[in-house]
Amino acid sequence: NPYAGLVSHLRAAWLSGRTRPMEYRMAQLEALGRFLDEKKQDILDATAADMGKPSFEAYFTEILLCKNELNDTLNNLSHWMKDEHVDKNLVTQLDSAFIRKDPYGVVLIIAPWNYPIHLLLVPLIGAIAAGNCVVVKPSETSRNTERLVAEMLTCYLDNDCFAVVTAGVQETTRLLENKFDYIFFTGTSSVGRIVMTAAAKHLTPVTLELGGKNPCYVSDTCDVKNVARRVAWGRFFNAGQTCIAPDYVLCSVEMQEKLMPALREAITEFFGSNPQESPDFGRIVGDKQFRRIRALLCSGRVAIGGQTDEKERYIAPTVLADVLPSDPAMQEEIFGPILPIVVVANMDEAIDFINARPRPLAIYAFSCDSKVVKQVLERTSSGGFCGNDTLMHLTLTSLPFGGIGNSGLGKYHGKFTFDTFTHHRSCLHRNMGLETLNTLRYPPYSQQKLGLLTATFEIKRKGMCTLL
Amino acid sequence: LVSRLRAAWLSGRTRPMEYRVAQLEALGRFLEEKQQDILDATAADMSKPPFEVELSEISICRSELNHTLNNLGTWMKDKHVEKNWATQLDSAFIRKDPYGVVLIIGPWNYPINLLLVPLIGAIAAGNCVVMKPSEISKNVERLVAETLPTYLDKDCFAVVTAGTEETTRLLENKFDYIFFTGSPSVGRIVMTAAAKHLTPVTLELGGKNPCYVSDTCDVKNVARRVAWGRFFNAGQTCVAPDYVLCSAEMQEKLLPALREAITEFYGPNPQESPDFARIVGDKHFQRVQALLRSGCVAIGGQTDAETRYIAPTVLVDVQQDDPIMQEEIFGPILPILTVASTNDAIAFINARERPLAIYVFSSCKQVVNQVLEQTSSGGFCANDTIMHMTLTSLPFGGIGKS
Repeated sequence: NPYAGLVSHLRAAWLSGRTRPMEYRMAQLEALGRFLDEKKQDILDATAADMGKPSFEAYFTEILLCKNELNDTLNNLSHWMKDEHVDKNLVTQLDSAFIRKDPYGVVLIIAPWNYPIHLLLVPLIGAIAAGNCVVVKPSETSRNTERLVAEMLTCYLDNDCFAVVTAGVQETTRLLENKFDYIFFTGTSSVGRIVMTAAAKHLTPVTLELGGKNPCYVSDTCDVKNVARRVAWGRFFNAGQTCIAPDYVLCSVEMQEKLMPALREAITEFFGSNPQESPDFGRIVGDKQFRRIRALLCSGRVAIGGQTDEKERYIAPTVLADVLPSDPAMQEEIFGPILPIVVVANMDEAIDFINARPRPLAIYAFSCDSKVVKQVLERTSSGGFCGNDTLMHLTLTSLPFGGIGNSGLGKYHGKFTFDTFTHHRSCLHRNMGLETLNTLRYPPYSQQKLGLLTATFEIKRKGMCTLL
Repeated sequence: LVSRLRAAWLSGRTRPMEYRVAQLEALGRFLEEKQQDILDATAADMSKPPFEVELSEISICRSELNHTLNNLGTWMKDKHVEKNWATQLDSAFIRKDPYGVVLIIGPWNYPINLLLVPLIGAIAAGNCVVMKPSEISKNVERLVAETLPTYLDKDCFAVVTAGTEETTRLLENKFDYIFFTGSPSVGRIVMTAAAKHLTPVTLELGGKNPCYVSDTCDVKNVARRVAWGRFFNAGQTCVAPDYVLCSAEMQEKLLPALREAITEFYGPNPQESPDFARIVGDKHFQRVQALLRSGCVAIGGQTDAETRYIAPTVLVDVQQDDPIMQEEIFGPILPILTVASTNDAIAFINARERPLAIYVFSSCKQVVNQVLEQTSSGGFCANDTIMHMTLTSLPFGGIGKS
């Protein structure tokens, strides 16, 4: 077991209690802040090298959003760490009853390649804030960022408590044989299954941030121009390599007619007449992924875009019209800059279409009619939901972010990350004396004792009266 | 069965609050109308004293039920959250959605409580539910299978009776949540099966709950509270104090106090007491009986295979390698191990799997806080046993193997 030494080293550090004091955690978090500041250019360079990430996008998602999470955590950590005192019943009135926020211990965070700093750091922030020791495994697919994290992140953190492991598929399998006290995984559903199965051997709790096909229903009553811009933004950001990007559009045939020119206009407005020349449009991360996405182009008909350049791993911002459920683009999460439009007759058909498929990470509904938005929300199930925009629900740290079913389990962001990595330990501190309070419960048992006991501690239904 | 429940769920039938309240009120009627049947079935299964059944099976369920009915309206509401600059004019909230079709697997030791309390929450949250009561508590299993469905909407709630084989087949199906109470080894099997469908799980497992008794305490009170926790339901309680850690001096003081408490509770011959339960089955009886070959029997030790009686027993001079320290006891035997100090007790606890509960008895607040701070467990109770489980405001669950 090549990682046994590392894990036991971290476990010893955790048992020593080093990560428990608030001052320690704040110091580590502040160091993370310095990493983001001092290595900003390195992060922009690495993500540009990995997938042509435009620096605006990299700054926003990899630096700014991380700093938001960091500051939210630093601002609130002492409050989050406090014992939470709870309601007591008659029997425990004189006791101290509270929830203690304990760390889990040694936790593992496995990050993906598409937002390689963000999806590594945001969980890490919560794990550190909660007092854990952490093993972090950045994605080997985003090679430059992986090297940056492996070489530079460790300089900022306490190496006895935090470690970066670089590993491919084989080594990650070995890593997962170790016992961790929590595993946080972001990636595909198929690998999610493997992670959870490995975790089950040690009864390790997990958070799985997975993916799926996020449907985007566009009703007939909407501002087509705004819809086109918001959907195009969500779809083509990071060249479509976003877990919550709108994966496909469902709309009527009339709306498809209206959307097409609006989408064309939005794409031109965003990326110019030749997006390949735009500095604001990303590339596909690797050759394998490029070929996979390119193969999806033979679905429906190419209405906008469709050009590709293998050398640059460039796929043009593309919209496919008249896509059928049986087409290749509808068989897997696209994770690329292709937006298929599937025609449905009406909202009910759209809802049935969505419910016939695995539950996605996000559902989008565009309508001026709030009743339409409400209906889609009420009659479907998804990790998250956004009416009249895409992606934006992810940017509020007060909203828990996560999937359901195939799109994942668990949630994080803001306090939810802290809570994810915290064991909420129930504590009751009773008095050594006051034994008379306990005598009702001891044998020898009697009906009288039972009556008194249930009268004192059983919760009654409110609004019901008993006439004695 | 599963697809029928899934269709019912997709129809939206379980969503309205009125529907859920009606199902929950029906559960309340089940507890009331079938009270005697519950007493009879649990008595048949493990000679549970009626007082214990009323307290730990019926009253506790009623509390959870009423607590839920009192608060469901609030719990179901959308929770509006703080917004940032960009979203000021938007509506941002957390919607409380059901998972869908959920599976609850109950154990045999508190067969009504540990099935109904999760069920109450599952129904309140708007799910359809498949329940699998334990086949080991045969009489309760029959009661639940035959009568519970008559109270609930059969299209949305079902009871499945199954042994190990059939449960394995049941777990092949895709559920949207699985709630399992039982042993860690079966917990692993459940989680592995769940992983195939990426189904979230709650696993309420077990372990050896240490009970550290410091030198500064009221020995008489400690003895009664520990004896109560250990011998309730003949020790078949997941949060029972499993073993005591204390100094040699404290062991000397504890023994007479424990002897006195046991006599006070069960009389000079506990086998004749109506207030002391029996072991649930022959296999379990043999397992627990075998653990008696650990240390020395200081109190009790008598057994009767015919009635599956094991006397309230205290063992002293128990060593780490003794049989009784190798597994969760789940029987009316309390081993005492001596340690030199609080630090040694903490080290002993931390060298082992993290338990469902840790108990500390001390008049000294610093000692209590030290054990709390330097250990990790599902829950924690100072100066009593089990009681932390009775507050619905405290989250109940384990960590690690528990």
